[in-house]
Amino acid sequence: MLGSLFGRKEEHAGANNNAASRTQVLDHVSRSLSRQRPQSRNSGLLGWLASTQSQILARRVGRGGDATETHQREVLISLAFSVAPSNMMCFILNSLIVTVMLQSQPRTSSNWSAESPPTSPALRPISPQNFYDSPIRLAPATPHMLGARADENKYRMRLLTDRMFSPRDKHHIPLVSLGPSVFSDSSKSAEKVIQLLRCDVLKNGKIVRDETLWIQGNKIVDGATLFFAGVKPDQVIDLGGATAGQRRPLVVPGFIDVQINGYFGYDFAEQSKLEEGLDVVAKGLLKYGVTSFLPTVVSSLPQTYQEVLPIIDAKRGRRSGHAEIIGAHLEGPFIAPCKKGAHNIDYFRSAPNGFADLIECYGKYLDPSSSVQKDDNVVKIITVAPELEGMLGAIEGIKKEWGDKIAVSLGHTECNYEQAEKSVESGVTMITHLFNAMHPFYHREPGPMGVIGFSSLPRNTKKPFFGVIADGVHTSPSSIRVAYNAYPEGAMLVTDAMAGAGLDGDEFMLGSMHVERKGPMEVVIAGTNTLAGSVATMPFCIANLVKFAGCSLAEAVNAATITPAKSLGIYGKKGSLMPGADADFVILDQLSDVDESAFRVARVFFAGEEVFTVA
Amino acid sequence: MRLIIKDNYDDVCKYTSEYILNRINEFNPTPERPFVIGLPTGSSPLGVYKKLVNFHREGMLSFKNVITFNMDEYVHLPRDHPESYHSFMWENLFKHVDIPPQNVNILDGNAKDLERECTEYEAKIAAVGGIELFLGGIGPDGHIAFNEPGSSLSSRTRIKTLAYETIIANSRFFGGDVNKVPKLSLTVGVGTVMDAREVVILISGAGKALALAKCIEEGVNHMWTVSAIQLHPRGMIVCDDDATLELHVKTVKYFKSIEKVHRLLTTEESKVGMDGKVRYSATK
Repeated sequence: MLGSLFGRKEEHAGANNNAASRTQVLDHVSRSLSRQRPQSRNSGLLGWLASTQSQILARRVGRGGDATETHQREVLISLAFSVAPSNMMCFILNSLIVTVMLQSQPRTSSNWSAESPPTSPALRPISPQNFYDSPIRLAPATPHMLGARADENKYRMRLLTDRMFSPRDKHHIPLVSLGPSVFSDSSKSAEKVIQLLRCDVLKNGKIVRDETLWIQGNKIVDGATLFFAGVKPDQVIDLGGATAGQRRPLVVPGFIDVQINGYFGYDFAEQSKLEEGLDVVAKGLLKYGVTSFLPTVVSSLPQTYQEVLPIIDAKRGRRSGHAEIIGAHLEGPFIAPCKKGAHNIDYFRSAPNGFADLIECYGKYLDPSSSVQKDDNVVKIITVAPELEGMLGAIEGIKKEWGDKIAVSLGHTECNYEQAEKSVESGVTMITHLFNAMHPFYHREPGPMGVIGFSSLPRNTKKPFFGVIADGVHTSPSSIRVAYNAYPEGAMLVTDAMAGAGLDGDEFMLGSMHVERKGPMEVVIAGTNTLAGSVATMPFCIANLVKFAGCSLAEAVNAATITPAKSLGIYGKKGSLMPGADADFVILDQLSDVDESAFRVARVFFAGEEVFTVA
Repeated sequence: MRLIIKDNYDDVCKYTSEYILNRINEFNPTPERPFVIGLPTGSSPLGVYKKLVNFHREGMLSFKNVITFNMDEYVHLPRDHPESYHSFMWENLFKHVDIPPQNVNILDGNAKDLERECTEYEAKIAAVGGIELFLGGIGPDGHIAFNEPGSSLSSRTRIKTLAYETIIANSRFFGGDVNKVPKLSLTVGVGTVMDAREVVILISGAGKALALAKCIEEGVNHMWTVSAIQLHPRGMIVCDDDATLELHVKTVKYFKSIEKVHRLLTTEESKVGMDGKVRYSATK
């Protein structure tokens, strides 16, 4: 009888799985059970149960509804487990029925999708796309492996199914793919992803400890987004634990220098060697951590600007291995003769015709109608003295035509506090090397410096950003401390470096002037005591600011990164380590636990590439 | 069930993290046989994650062949929201360790078909062979994951409405505004957690004392869903002294005495090992 039952059942299991066949089997079961020995009360009860259930099912099928699997499962489970263990034959029989019935559940259960099942990993060829998919061999996820009786059913399956019935792969259960197919972002997959681990990062001006930084291509990206999209880093740089007992390396944005007149023997006002000079300077500045800078052109004749500005314009943009030239800083010639500094007084002029005079001097680079540079002007900063004739009108003209694209800076001026305030209202947003070449600070006449202190500017006018040359020579440390603490958010570090910076010699040319070195960091016009620019480097200035102003290293670095970027309107792309910023950053080694000014530039990255490593 | 009573929260984290470290290293996971672990969120496991990160940094623990399944996630909260559980796990664990991204499984609260997401999650767990160790915390109302009181003890991964008490408790992360807190979440069920081969629950602080007492000294009750651990063959609860404030003195003394014997057995001089085999030499 058992054999016949097996034969019948295999027929049913192997053939169609529709409800009708199942009810037939149920009928068969009930009849076979009721044919058993009448001593066992349970089997009689069982037979009655089975027959009534199968009748109900048959009626339901006949009426056109489908006998749901759950109902059938309930029936079968009640059949199976209502048998007393002493009746071993019934027990085995029913457990066989249960396993067979449960195995042959149709695939179209409500929980599974109606799509065709994906192929198993074993059948997919290995290719670069799926190489990183989960290497775990997937076991088939059958429906009855879930649920409260998962363990029990697995046990049953192992006992009976493997030995007696069909092998596992006959079931064609759909496999769940574990690959990152849902989130894959293949558009950037070609770019290299670098992850920096265990660093202290300067984010938004504050140090965040124990952070990771992800770089993709030449931009900084959000690590969590990449991680949950399934992207693994191509290169992992672990910055922790390198120097035990000392502070962790500090990752900061690349420094931005808005005033550089020359470097390494090249002067930017000299057109003959300008192209070569820009390349050499751009390459050499990287080792000081300066990743973006503005070549500054001192007071010159109009034709000089026509020659020099196109060359600077051509060198703009990001080039691997070179610091980025953001634009040009035009210092003069609309500045005060009595505050000439190291400029050539012959080229100075005023602007009686206002903005028109500026256009006449600078040419098409300032002329709005020439539309050479309408969207992206090479001129970024113009330094003027606002007390000159017609200057306020000229400043207003610049602001009207160019808006925020050109920043007007106050410098080389003898204006007093009121005139300085008026110029800020007209549109001046920066002060060029505060304290140098301007009206000195006097307690009843603060001069331009007063604008960063108390100012009765209208509400919506911001106090100007101010650059300081923190080499200890141009300004007394005490003055720097006072100015910095008066308005820390506006303090910018500039080097105002001239051609002699980065060199060891004693005599150089600055524009058309002879200058000579007076001290280790002091350069004067030959034969005088007038400072002729500085030979400072940016890390030196940052360390000095920590010492002079009493601020932390993070705040001093902000003055070299965030504030210059904000003054140029490029904060977010430069001067920042938030996602979306350019991947120009510097890793500083802090050399002392107590002295924040003791640091060195350890590694410099430009556009995601390491361009400098300290020996 | 083992109840490990430690002095304070730091010791609880130390014990749990060392336990996980030993479990993973003894399991010796390989790509073909990975270690599947279930992970919680909240304030209780923060110390454990910190210590696991330290183990990783010292080279003692690698996550290359560890697959993780998280317990829960808010529904319709953007994945990069600072309070989403994706962000929590990223900030506290995944950022610092070498786990491959495809080994990380967290429920997606922004899936188009949430029910299907839950069922696929269950299928993923089954596909990798089930969870080896499920780490969890407990709420003051005795809930595990987001299975609030009244959740079925055989429940699976599903969408769950958050209790008002939970929403108020979580509003501190959303600026104190209860309207900003998500009201739905996807959570593993009590049944899913108890299907793991081992369950470790972290309970610390006096606020959880009543929950602990209800869960281990009283019956299995759907009002205190962690009580389902009583039916688990390998359950472990690690708690600190403050959490035992509502337990009977007898219970505390009993479990402390067991651990004392355990410590004796795991010393080098012990003649009988933890597996019951007699050791004839001093070394294991």
